[in-house]
Order: sequence, then C-alpha cells, then structure tokens
Amino acid sequence: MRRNKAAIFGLAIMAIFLGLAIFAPVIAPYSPDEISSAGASPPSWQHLFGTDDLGRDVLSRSLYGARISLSVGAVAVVIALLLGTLAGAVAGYYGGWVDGSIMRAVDVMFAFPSIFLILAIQAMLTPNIYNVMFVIGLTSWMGVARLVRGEFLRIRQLQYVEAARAIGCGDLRIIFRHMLPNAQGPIIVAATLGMAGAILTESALSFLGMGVQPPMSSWGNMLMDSQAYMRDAPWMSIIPGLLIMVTVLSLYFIGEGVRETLSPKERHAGS
Amino acid sequence: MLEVRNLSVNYYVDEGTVNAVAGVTFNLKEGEILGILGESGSGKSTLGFALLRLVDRPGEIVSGEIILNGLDILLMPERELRRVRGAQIAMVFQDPFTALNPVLTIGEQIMEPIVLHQGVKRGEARAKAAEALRAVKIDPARIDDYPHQFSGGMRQRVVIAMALACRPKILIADEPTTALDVTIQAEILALLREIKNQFNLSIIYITHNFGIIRQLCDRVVVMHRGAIVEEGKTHLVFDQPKEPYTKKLVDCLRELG
Repeated sequence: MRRNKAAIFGLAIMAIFLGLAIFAPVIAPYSPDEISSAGASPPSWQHLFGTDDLGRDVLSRSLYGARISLSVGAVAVVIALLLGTLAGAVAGYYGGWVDGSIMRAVDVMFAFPSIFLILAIQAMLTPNIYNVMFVIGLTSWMGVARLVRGEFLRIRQLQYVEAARAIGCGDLRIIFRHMLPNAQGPIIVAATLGMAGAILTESALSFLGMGVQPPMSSWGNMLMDSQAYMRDAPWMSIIPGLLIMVTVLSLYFIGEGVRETLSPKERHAGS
Repeated sequence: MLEVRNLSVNYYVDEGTVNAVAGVTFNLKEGEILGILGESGSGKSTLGFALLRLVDRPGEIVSGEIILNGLDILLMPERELRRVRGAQIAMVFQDPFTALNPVLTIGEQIMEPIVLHQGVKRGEARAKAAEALRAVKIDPARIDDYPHQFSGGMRQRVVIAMALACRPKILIADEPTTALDVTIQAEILALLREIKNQFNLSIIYITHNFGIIRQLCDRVVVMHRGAIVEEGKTHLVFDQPKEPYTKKLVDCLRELG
C-alpha cells in the first residue's frame, strides 16, 4: 500500500509533466530561443526560473526541453521494447539453437560499454534527435529480451499453449495471441524503467554534446550549457537537474508499483 | 478410424535416451471409447500427444505410422497437420486450471478453432461457440466470462466445448478428471458419454484409473514401460487378465474395493 502511494505520486507527476510538455507553447511565458534579459539573471517574477547565460528564459526552455526529453525517452523505449520483445519471444518460444544464438548476441551487446557505442555511432551520424532516439533504442533492448525470454520459457510450459497447438494454431498466433498478452506485466515494468534509463542516457549524451543539438533545448543540453556558470548562475543547472531527477524517480515509482501489484508473493512478504 | 502402427517416441535427456513409447500398435474403431491404461511414466500421455505430433523437445517421434483417413499424420506437412488438429482430432487436457488462457474470454477461446478451421465470420463463430457451451451444459450467457470466473469442473467443460467446437471425429482425453473432485469426475464422465453419442465421436481416454476405464471404455489397452502389454474388451481384460502386470493392477483395484 505504502509503495502504491509512491506509484500514484509518480503517475501524477508524469501526467503533469506530460501536460506541461504538450501545452508548452501555451504555458511558456517566452519563446525558448528569445533573448529576454541581458545575461544570466536569477529567478524573479519576470523569469520564475531565471535566465541562462544568453538571457533566455529557463522556464520556457525547460518546458520545451520536456517535449524533447520525454519524447526521446518514449520513442527510444518503444524501439527497445519492440526489438527486445521480438528477440526474447522468438528465443523463448523456439529454444534450441535459435535461443542460443539470440541470447549470445544479447550477451555481446551487454558486454559492450553502451555509452561508447552510442558515442561512436553518434559521431558517425549527424547528431539530431531522431538519431538519438534510434541509437538509444538500439542499444537498450537487451534487458527486455532477457526478461521476455524468461517469461516465454515459463508460459510455454503451461497447458494452454499446448492446447492452442492442439486446436491447430500456428507459431505466430501462439506467440502473439496466446503468450505475449500473458507476459505483458513484466513488459510494462520494463517499459517504465527503460524510459527512465533512456531519459538519463539522452541527458548524458546531450551533456557530452552528442545528443540534442542547440539551439533546440533538452534537459541534458541545458545542463551542458550551465557547466561554466555553475557558481554564478546555479539555477541554470539546478532546474534541469531537478527535472531529470524527478522524472526518473517518478518512472521508477510507477515501475515499482506495477511490479508490486503484479506479484502477489511480494505483496505478502513486503507488508 | 485411426490406426497406429509401431509408434516409438524417444526422449533425449542428459542421462541418455529414454524410450517412452516403444513400438506401439493399436487401432481406434468408429464410435468406441478406447481406454489407455498405465501408471505414471508408462508413456501413455506421451502416446496421446504423439497422436497429434505434439511431442516437444527433448522428445522426438522416431518411427511408426498414424493413419487417419488413409493419410499418415507423421508424414503430413505442417500446414496439413494444423488442419487435422482441432478439426478432425481434438484434445482435452489434464489440468483445467492451466488449459485455458487467463487473458482471453472462454468465448474467444472456443471461437478460435472455429475461426481457424471453418473461416466463418465472427458472428457465426460466436453462435457456434454458444452452441458448444450448451452441449457441455454451460449457460451460453457466460460466453464473455473469463476462465477465473469458473470452477475446476466448469473449466473442464469449457475445455471440452473448445475441443468439440469444430465437430471433430476423434477426441483424445488425457486424464481429464484427475485434477477434479470425485463427484465432479462423475459428472464429466457422464458428459463425455453423452457427447460421444450426440456428436458421434470416437474417444481415446488416457488414465491411470482402472475404475474409470471400467465405467467408460469399450476396449482397453494396457501400457507398461512404453509398450502395450495387454489389449481387449474392457470386461474381458478386467475379469480374466492374461498378463501378470494387468493381474497385479486388477488385484490392486479389488483390494481397494
């Protein structure tokens, strides 16, 4: 129960952030690129979150940055889920050498320090937000694959899968209609945690200058911009930093909440 | 109706090869209930699965013929095999608690073989599913309920309705009452007898329970360690068992009353 309160809190925060991101053009007091003061000014009634070194309103940039950061996170996680679910489902359903080769590929991907892989790919491609989404998605599907494979190994033992075969269902029908819906719980958990991870990765990439490119704002590149002014204009780094932290925490709370409602065992042991 | 010749199934495990079904030959006559009797590990369930080529790794059907309407099931391409499964030969499973998919309504599950095999519209399939429910004495109004809303005995009826949906000629029942209470067992057995007549079915009934075989089956095949040790009319096998193994089984049953 206590944890579920956290999940509801997380859900509420995410709903608010999503609303703010969607309605950013309506809510934002300034255009994100508009220079509305001379140099960095601290928070005031004109600029609730202050302005950055170029005199741009931090609140407005945060709102527009939320659009970028959240959509990069969402798209990246969808890509990772699609890839991971497919790989895990095929591996878990067919087993044998198919399973062996897919899971070895997963191991290899895991063994690769993914931030360097992402940086290398980003260095070759033009760093724009679409590439950021794809690259994060393509390097974060392995956890989902392992999870889905495990679920499929479990579900394949159940009689309704045998029953589906006995009425003449083909493999694809069994995988997508009979097995996948029964694996959805852990996949939802993985999605929320994965989105938190993707948002962090996007921030890290943008911080390193390999992610979202200026003048477009994301929470990550706002942080990067603030590096040199950490002492003189701390609000420039505190605001996007807090936003990232609160978002990631909220997503973790949601993931934990879903996990807990799904596993009755933990619910008993935990309370 | 269904002829099985020299069927063998092996399991390849770490310790070596287990010959779970060892050269089994029998036939199923039209309109009869054939019992397959054997203790746990005798290969009777593996035999049942093998009849529809449902044996999974690490098991493998290594030899034999299963002739249905002049065609060998073991030689069929996958596509053709799928047209046999559920349409001509259907199966009822041991555990009604896991034989139904928890995320689909019972209606969706009964409609599935109908849609797969008869290519009819959803509305028509739904009507047929309702009819199948009526045949197993479940109120068709419950067609949109989920499996967890039914008791074990009711679920087994749903499983039977699913098997009957396409009006197969042959039903393979693998210990369908083992997981149920004795009173529910009796109901399910009565139901099987009834649908057998109503749908003109031939049934292969797999069990370790000689009592059920006696009540239900016209003929019985006794399996021991993967092979058939005795075969014949149920009352003959029961009254005058020829093989020592069958004698032992019969004695056990008599002692239990």
